[in-house]
Amino acid sequence: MTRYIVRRLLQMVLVFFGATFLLFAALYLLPGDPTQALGSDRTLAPATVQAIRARYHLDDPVYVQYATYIKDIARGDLGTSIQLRRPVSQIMRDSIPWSVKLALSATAVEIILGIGSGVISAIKRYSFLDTLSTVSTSVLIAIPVFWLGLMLQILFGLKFRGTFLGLPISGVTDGWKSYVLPSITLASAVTAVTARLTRTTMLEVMRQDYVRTASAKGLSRRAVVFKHALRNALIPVVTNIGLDFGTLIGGAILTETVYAWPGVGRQVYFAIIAHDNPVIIGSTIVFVFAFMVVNLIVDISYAVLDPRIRYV
Amino acid sequence: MSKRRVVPVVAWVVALVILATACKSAKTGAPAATPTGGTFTVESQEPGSLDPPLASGSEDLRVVHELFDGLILYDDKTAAVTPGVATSWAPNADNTKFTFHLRSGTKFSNGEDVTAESFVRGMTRSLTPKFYNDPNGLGYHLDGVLGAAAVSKGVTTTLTGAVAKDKTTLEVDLSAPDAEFVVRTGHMPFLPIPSDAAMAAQKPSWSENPIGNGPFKMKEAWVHQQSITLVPNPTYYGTKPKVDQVVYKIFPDQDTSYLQWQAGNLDWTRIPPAKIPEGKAQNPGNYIIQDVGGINYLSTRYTLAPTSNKLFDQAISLSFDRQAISNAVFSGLNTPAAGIVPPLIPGSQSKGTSGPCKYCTYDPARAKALFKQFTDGGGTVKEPFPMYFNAGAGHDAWMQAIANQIQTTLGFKVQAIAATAQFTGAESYSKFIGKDAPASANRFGWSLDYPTPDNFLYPLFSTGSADNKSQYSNPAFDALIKQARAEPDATKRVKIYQQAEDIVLEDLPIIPVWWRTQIRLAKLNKWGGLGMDPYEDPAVRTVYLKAASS
Repeated sequence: MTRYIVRRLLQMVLVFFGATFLLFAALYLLPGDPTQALGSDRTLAPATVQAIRARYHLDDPVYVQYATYIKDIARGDLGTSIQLRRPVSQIMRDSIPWSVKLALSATAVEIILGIGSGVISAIKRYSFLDTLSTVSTSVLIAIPVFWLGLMLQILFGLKFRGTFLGLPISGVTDGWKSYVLPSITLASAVTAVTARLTRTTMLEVMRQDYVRTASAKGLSRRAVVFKHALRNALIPVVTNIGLDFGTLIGGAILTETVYAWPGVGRQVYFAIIAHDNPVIIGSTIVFVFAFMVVNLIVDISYAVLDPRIRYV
Repeated sequence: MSKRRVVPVVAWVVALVILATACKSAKTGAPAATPTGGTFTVESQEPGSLDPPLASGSEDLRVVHELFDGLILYDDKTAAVTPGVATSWAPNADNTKFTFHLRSGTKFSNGEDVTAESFVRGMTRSLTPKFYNDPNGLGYHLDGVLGAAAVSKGVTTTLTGAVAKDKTTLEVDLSAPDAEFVVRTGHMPFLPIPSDAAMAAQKPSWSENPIGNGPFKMKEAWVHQQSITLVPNPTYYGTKPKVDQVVYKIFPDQDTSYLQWQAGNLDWTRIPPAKIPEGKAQNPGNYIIQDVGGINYLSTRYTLAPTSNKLFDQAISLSFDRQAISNAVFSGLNTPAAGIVPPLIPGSQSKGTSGPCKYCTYDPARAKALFKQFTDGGGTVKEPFPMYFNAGAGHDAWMQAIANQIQTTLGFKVQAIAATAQFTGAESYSKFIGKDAPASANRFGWSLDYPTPDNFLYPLFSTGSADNKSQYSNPAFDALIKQARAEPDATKRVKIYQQAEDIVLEDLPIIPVWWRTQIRLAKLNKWGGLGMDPYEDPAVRTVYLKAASS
């Protein structure tokens, strides 16, 4: 087990270098000069342009810039945002907690709605509820996230305003209520997958001999479904949800922008618009890390959930 | 079976009704809004900096304006110069030395005294290379102060031109006569700064949580990308604000903030351009439309044919209908400009759509006549004639309309081209903004730094100025600006600036298009004393909650 984890950690280092270098090269192969964007309509004095170019190492070749960058990352320095004029590490420190909180609450939505509707579909196969859940999750997958976000804002923020269904439209200043719409929006796409996966694996497990045995020995339906079937059916579902968590942290760009959520996704959006390379690279590193760590945890958790799996 | 089903449904309905009424009664049970106090909530975007020498963006300025009082203040309505920390000031005979007399006993919000030394400190700090060479640095406004260059080049840290004679007397020496120097001193880089120790003591840092001497102070440090909250400064010397707090809520874009306005959560907001008609229709009596201190124009190259020939520029200027395009694209919001110094600026020759420009109306017959004169004199146009504008900033529709109308009126091909800031090549922004710009008519805008004609004439048209994009150079114009800056009499000075403006409007190195006009949604039914100041911001110093608002 320890050897396995060490090997995985070493692989992570390789993935990290690969990802950052690709990103670095891609961004710097794009032609353009960020110093121009800074001046807007005012012409910058040559001395100013020179000072900026020197400060951000813009006159060095790409590989020297990359080496400098890796050296700085090792010291915990992700550079300074050109647009926001703050250290990227500080920006990330501020925004990561918000992204993680949103991803957690979206995962909660995913678990409750996804697994719930999956189980109901499976035990009431071909019933009205089954069809309803299949159709509604299909629709949910088809709806673009930003559009769903806007519609929910109009419905719960404007139409139901003042009623008990009214919810805050954006920002994070209204406590738990702030989480409701963004979490549902962010969870919409992954929930459908979870629901289907739960349904299929439940149906499979329900056909197993040991389930029939459990029913035959006179256990209640509830005990059969929840204690015997669901527990086994959940193994692939939990894996899937774990991997989704990585997606939710990194994939919240649209949701966070629509809801003015101060997370990493929103930083990426603005950084791309402003050509703010330090922030783009910094956030991507965060995403890469989130993915790698979540992946590792999921892989390790296999062994914990299913004693038959052994890593060597 | 059917009976059993009914019971839970009834229970649910009852529960929901109880919940709904409970929520309602909780709302009405809350104390009604008091006639004074209240929280004034303003839509904002993330500022670049709250540190005065770097506060160059509109979102930066509006907050720093409330945190600090300069030597002088600008009137919210007329933009006229009014006393700030300085109660009086006097120039010497040739406008090279200004003496300011300061109020005694005024304080920063941390209790430290505001003295002449605080202003010297602020000015010197703005000129230090760290701030001066920053792309957003405002130190260049101090270039005229004696010894400024030595500080900005890092040779010395003492600004010889700014001297604190005693606690309440500040003397500023200039390297050249500048009669309008006083008007500049309300601007960011001139603001007073507390002692180094006080700055260092700020948590988490000075630039996140600055200490000023204005009517408001920071309630808490800037919460990045969420909000900035100001509360009245108890140590303020002037009229205390009437609101309990002002919250600048930071939004990623105007669509999100417009939704928040619709949900009733904002007291002041911009509108996404496409929503202007809807915003006006849905909020009767709750919006402000106002011309502000700025101009949108087309800049033409003065040094390259055909735009070097004023006949060509005059013909272009006469060949498109500013009002019709404003009606079609901006629902009539933008006022056609017939001058360079906006009507708001004291000393402007323009009023509404009328102004000193003789070639700024729509007159196809005259345009054709002037163009014929141009071609008869041997002038030719290389087709298509390009008109550049910066992409992604909402200029596409109206630039296209102007290009079409010029083409229709004058009969040569005109092409509006969107240029991007990020990319190099033929369509690059630097191509038309820089020294190598082709003979073209390019979109630019200029907004006031301080309300004086000089601020619209000197940077845009004087020989060699960095912002003189058309590379205009006219010795007569340069001489008049120099003369005006040395003229001590305000009335005579304005006359000289007007002559300079007339010279430019004959040569037309730029073609005036519109005065900058702004619309804001504002809860005028809830708040009194609320207006738009020359910087396009809400007048939060005077705003108060109206009595009996529900």
